[in-house]
Amino acid sequence: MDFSLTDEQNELQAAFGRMFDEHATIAAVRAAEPVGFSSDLWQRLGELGIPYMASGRATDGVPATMSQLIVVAEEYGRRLAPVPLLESVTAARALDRAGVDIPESGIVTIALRQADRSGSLNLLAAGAVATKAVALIGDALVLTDLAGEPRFLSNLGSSPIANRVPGDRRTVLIAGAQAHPTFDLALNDWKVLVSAALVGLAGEAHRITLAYVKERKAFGVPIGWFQTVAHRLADSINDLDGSRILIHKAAWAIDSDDERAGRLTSMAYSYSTELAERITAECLHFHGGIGYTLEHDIQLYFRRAAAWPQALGDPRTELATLATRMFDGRRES
Amino acid sequence: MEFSDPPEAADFRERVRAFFAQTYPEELRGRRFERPHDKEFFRAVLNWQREHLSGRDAYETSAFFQEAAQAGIELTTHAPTRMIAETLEDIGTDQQKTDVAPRMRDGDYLIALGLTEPDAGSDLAAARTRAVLQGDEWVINGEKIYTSNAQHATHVFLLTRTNTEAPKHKGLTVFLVPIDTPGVEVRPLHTLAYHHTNMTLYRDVHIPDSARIGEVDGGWDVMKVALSREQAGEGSTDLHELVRQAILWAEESKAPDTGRMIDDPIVRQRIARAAIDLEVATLLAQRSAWATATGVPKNPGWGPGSKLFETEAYARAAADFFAMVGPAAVIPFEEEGAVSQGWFNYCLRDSPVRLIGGGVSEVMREIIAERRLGLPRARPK
Repeated sequence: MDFSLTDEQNELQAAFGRMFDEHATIAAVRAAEPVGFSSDLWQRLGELGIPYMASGRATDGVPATMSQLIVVAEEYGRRLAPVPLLESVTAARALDRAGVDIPESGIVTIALRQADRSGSLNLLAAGAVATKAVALIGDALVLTDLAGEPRFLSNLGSSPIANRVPGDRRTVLIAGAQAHPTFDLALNDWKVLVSAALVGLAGEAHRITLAYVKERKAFGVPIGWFQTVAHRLADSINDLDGSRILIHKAAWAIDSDDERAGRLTSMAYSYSTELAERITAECLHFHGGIGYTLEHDIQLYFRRAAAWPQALGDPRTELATLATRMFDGRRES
Repeated sequence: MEFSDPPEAADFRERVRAFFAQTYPEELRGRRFERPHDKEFFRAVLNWQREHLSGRDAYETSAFFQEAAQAGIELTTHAPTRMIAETLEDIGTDQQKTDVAPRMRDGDYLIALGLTEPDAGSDLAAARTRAVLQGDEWVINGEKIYTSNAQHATHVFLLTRTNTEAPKHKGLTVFLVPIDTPGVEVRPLHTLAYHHTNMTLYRDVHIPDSARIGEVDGGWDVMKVALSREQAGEGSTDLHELVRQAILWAEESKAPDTGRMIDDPIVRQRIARAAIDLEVATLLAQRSAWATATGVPKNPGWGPGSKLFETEAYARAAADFFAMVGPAAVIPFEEEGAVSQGWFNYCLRDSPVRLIGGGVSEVMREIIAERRLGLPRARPK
């Protein structure tokens, strides 16, 4: 057992941390609202290898592992970076599994939910900026064009979501009985990545709040002096540690094809979605009135903590998935 | 990060199971909740740990204690002896290192901690038990509460006040007091969780200066060393066993509509939620054990954070499962009609003890807030 980051993880953290520090500043995040996309940042991300590093075909057979990608995702979350990092990386891994190259141009997203009866991919994550999507259509996992003009839908998380319709040009990635299980693997990837992003986001909200409660005075003392504030921040940092390690364990399980991968993924996703909502709400609260003004940055974190998991749907239902994975005898996906 | 079980993990667990099967005294089985102590078994555990626990892998420690919990064996009585042996090996006199610590390692000595006082609670440094030097002997007067295992112990690791003029942390001295010294009295204090702890009273107890640990008035430094030896994962296996029992119960119990309880969507999600907490608690404990085993500098919040998370999660699960198993949850263990041998009944009674013993949750949060987060200290010095 080893609870330290590997050299590769440290290097990725430093490289992406530096780039985001410089180019995904709060000013840049705000400037990218409401759509939540910066083409400048997307280009810089490409220079650092996103999403290509996630594909074995683009990296001479040595793609980044999930254990490495979650480090990038955490930095992305910490900076609320206005780029479809999680979806493009998830799609790249899904394409790689099917032995298909990442298209040379455009952004590929993943349809986390299936199309409605009319065939529309509603509230598609990164749908406002993507040109293609990996999607489960009928009994086939496909790479499909997205037809028509995207119409951005204003939303709580300032994410580039849109309703899109799959186009006619489709590459079948996997058809038949294996399509659903393979799609579940992609969903697992996304759940672990978004969990890491949420830990980054909540950790940053905690950092901002900690600095604030040390400086802000009420009744003649810093508000962090009050135990009702201090103890909740103590609980939060402890829970964040637990969440981060759990996410690392889930990523490790995916990388090593461990039979607990599905179960650990559900645990990590269930725990970190709940935690990020709680922590960002508390952090906003500790700011007092200024915390609920749009002028203050803390609301940026609060909004996204609730909004990001909704790309897939109610995160509370993950407990049912976890129970299935724990108690229903078949081999886990 | 790396989470692989060591290659010999399955074999290791097999050996732990075989060891417990061979050495655990039959007559103690079913008395686990009383936290019994058997000297020969204690020696056997110490010997086995010395031979088979390399101390290099966090996995081993948590696997060892998990197997003990699963076999219904209580090992928390052993923890203080190891802590104090390590403390003496670190800061003891030559005589303590060569004569005293080895007898703790061999199981000749069993140590109880005499720290808390009736009027002071969590504020250990407020100790008023007096030790006064008369000639070449110390004379001790005072009383301690929650001196757990004193009924089995050979010695008390006793925190006393030797200086009433100095600031409270600077006037303390620690002694290792043989429990059979005239003037030491052990009075049982029965707890909600079936075991009993003790009051210990000290009336004109005379002990030689060689029983002193650390410097005169340097007792708080000794305390810091001793408390830093508290080992994550040791005796924190209650949650592991509680979740295991809940799964067994749900698999074996019939539900009105759905067949088995484990197929009931609400029941299975409640157990799944506790299983997440168990995974997090285990990882936090393993991280602490990993830092100890590898010598990685430990964040001051890790140990307290592990204790805090595990016991709070245990209390949540204990309350939830007690409610979940229905009306017969109220029947205590070993009584007719008890659910799962009364396990959920016991855990409900035990959980308040765990939240308080070994450092109450609020003190754990204080340590994290002050030493990890750098928040201003609210409690008076």
